[in-house]
Amino acid sequence: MAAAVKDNLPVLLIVTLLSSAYLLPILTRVRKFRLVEFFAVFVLALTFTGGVVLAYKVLATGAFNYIVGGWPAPWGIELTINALSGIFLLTIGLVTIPILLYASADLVEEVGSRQRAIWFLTLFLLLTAAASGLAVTGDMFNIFVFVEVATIASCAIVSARNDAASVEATFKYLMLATIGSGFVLLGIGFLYMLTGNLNLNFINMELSTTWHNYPTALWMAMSFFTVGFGVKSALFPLHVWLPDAHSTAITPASAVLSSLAVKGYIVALLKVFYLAVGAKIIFALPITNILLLLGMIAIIAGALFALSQDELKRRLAFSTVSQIGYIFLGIGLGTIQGLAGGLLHILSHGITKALLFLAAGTIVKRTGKTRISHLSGLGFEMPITFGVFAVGTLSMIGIPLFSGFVSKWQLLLGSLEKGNYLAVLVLIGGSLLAAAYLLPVLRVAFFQKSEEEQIREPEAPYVQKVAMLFLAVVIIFVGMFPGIFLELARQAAESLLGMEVLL
Amino acid sequence: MILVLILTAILISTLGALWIAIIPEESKKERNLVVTTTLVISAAIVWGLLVYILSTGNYPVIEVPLASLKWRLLLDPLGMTYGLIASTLWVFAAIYSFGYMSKDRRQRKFFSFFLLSAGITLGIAFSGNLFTMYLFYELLTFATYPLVVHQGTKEALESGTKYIKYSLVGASFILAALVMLWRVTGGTLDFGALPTLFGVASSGQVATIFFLFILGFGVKAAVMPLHGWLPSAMVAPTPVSALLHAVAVVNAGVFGILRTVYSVFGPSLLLELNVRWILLVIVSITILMGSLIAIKQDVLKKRLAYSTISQLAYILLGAFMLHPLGLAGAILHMIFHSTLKIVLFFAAGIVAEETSYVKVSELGGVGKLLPLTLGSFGLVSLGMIGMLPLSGFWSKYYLLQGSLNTGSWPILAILLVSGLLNAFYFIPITISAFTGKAEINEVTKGSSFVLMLVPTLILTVLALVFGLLPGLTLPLVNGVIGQFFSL
Repeated sequence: MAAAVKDNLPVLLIVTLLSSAYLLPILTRVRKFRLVEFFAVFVLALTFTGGVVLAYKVLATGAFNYIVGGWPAPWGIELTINALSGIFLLTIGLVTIPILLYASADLVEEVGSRQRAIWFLTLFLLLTAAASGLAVTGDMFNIFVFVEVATIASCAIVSARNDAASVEATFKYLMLATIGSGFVLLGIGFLYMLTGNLNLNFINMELSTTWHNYPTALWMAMSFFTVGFGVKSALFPLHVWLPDAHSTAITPASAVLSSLAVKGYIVALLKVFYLAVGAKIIFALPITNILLLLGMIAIIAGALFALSQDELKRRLAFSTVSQIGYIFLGIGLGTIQGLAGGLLHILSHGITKALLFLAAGTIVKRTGKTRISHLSGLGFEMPITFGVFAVGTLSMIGIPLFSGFVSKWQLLLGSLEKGNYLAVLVLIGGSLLAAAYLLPVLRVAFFQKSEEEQIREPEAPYVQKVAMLFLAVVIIFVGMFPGIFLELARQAAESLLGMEVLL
Repeated sequence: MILVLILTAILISTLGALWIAIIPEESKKERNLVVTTTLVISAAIVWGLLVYILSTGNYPVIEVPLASLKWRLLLDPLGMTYGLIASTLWVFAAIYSFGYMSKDRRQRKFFSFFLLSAGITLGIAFSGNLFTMYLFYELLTFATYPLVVHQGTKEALESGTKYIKYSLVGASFILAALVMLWRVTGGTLDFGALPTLFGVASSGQVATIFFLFILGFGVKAAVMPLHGWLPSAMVAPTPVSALLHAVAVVNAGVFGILRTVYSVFGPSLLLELNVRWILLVIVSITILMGSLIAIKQDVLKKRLAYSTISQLAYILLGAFMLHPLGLAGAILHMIFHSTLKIVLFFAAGIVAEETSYVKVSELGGVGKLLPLTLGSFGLVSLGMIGMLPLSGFWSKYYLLQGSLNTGSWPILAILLVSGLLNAFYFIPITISAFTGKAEINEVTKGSSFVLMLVPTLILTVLALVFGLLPGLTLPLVNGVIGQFFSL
């Protein structure tokens, strides 16, 4: 039994998440709603364990393929588990578990009714399933399926609260995300026409011999993928939907969207680029240079937009635009160190932004204050919430001891490896801007005396505090002992870029 | 054993800070006890370790490898000097703060960050590579910020923001330098890794890295024109100004530059790079400008701040001579300037607390009301000018020797002129304090007054002792020089 589970772990991860997601609506009749919520958390914990086992296996023995149902490719479905899957599965687990734990404290109250709460849980698990699917999938068809599942789930989760603002944001998001899907589908169509295959490995084999015959078509296909996934992962200037969607959604939804959902598409893009098309061909096209440039613009522009927002959640949402730029900068550098930095930033930004959104949500909910300038004097009233917010801030700036430093350091090394001093400047400027838009929150809360008499605000419920403290501890742990995460990221970068980059 | 001791010295303050943060605001006795005990223990450990490394002559290293970087702690005479100054003066500043802060309603917050900064400062002192040092250097900014803005007024918040901006930009230069150094040395940030590799990188590259480090550390060392934050930071409570802005924070910058010059690049490499004259000119300008601006300041603490800017540049001047005597002067001046300047701040704080006078022009006759305080101030300011029998004489003596030996007559002139300027802005204060007529006739001295006066007097006596027996510092100074120059 145990062996069977272990052998079929890649597919079991997705199956467990999907089936639990659809099982949940049946559980509406369970009297104690708490039990339903803890069931969902338990499922996440279970799949996280699976993710850890897979990551460990990849680290120990290298990447491997899993053939679903025993029908080998090109006819059957093949899953590819490599270090990239490992690092993304770890991110998924580390982010979703605390977020759902946090959500469980006041979910019914937040979304309005038990029925809606159940649907929220279903959507949450679906989103997690789609993200895990993107992590392990090995063919174009499944990439598209999971991209669509993720898109629908994220759009629906934005409107969980069912008020005017979030419905409008959802509509905006849905429109742009659908256009993005269209581009992705076009890209897949092009690749299928060129190669006659959907399996990533087979596409790669086909293209490596024949790509010289259709460089323009391939170039078109890559552009479609870049734009399609760019819209979905909020690459500047395709980010316009993100600030509304991420700031109007309920707190756990904002957290999971900002820290996880946008990253899934980046993983998909990396798979298309490096597993299907291959590093050699990608570097022959100027695509990475474009991503590098867009990444740099995103870092600065996103941060400047964030700086001009007074509303706390909107500021965090624009901060995500800026931080996504770091990841694209890492991809654009196209060196081992740089890509490893970008991949590590998926993890590091994930846990950091999840923590910041949860803390911000607690602040907004407990005090009713959405604007940063109104927070004066609250720091010592809610020491834990603002304390973990401080941890998130320091990590986002990239202070050593916190996870943000590790990825920033790798990105800096990657930039120098490439001899790109502009990127060094942008990275350092970006972290200074991060300090400029996040530190004022702490300054106002802790050190500015408030004009009005403070009523003592109750801190968040116990479960929410635990969830936030867990994330804070993870951030510091990754910051202090980044060894295994760095190793995963480096292996992922090496396997994606292959040997030709080293020469 | 050594490992346990070092970690205790660094971490005990952090634990103390957490303890204080938990116990309620009202339990003042327990808090003062925790502060005193932790600081005394860590100072005692530092003294013990000093005796150990000076008597055995080996410098223990502790390493914890990370992925590609590593944490590294090192005990050497240079780091020891800074650690010794900070941890010892921290105890005095704590006792002074018990008096000064006794009416404050947020002592819990104040003392938590006060202790936290103590641990982080020792972390800087004992850092064994640039990465570890960068970590503690960044943390110091964030741990000291709450102390700077403690008053919570608009002015305090503004100068706090200024402090953070300057510090973070400075730290960014250091980070850029670290990454570039990492590339040049092929993946190590340990001290002493670079000098052996000269030739691998172009001299332009090495010079760029060097100047990035100087720019970065120069912010906290308040080298002009990077000094803007220091006078503004005088809005902080006086014990903070005394400790952080005369000792711990500014010396962290100076110490960073000393590490860069001597431990990372090394005197011979820098002589080869031919950067000495640029550096000497910059710090000479800082020395003169600092003194000149100090004369114009009427607010006593601001005058002291500009004096600090000028005096810190003395230390750097000695360091940049790249000569054993210059380094001896730098080390001595780091020790003596800290012990002297903290007394001046302490005295200024007592005056402000007891009479609410903060301006130089208001001080006439105050000396008759607070004879011991102003007496200490007057005596110690003589040391600042560089007169016998105060300790300040000896550091200037070595700086003069150093400049003679490097054949730089202009520097000699600058030192003499600056000494005169120091006399201009210090001596009139004392004279008018004892000869003028005060508007108030008496001050009520409470129990807090004694707590403030005692550390002031002890440190004044210390300044006299060092002035009369300068040989006491010889083992330490010899240790530092022996580390970097083969004589």
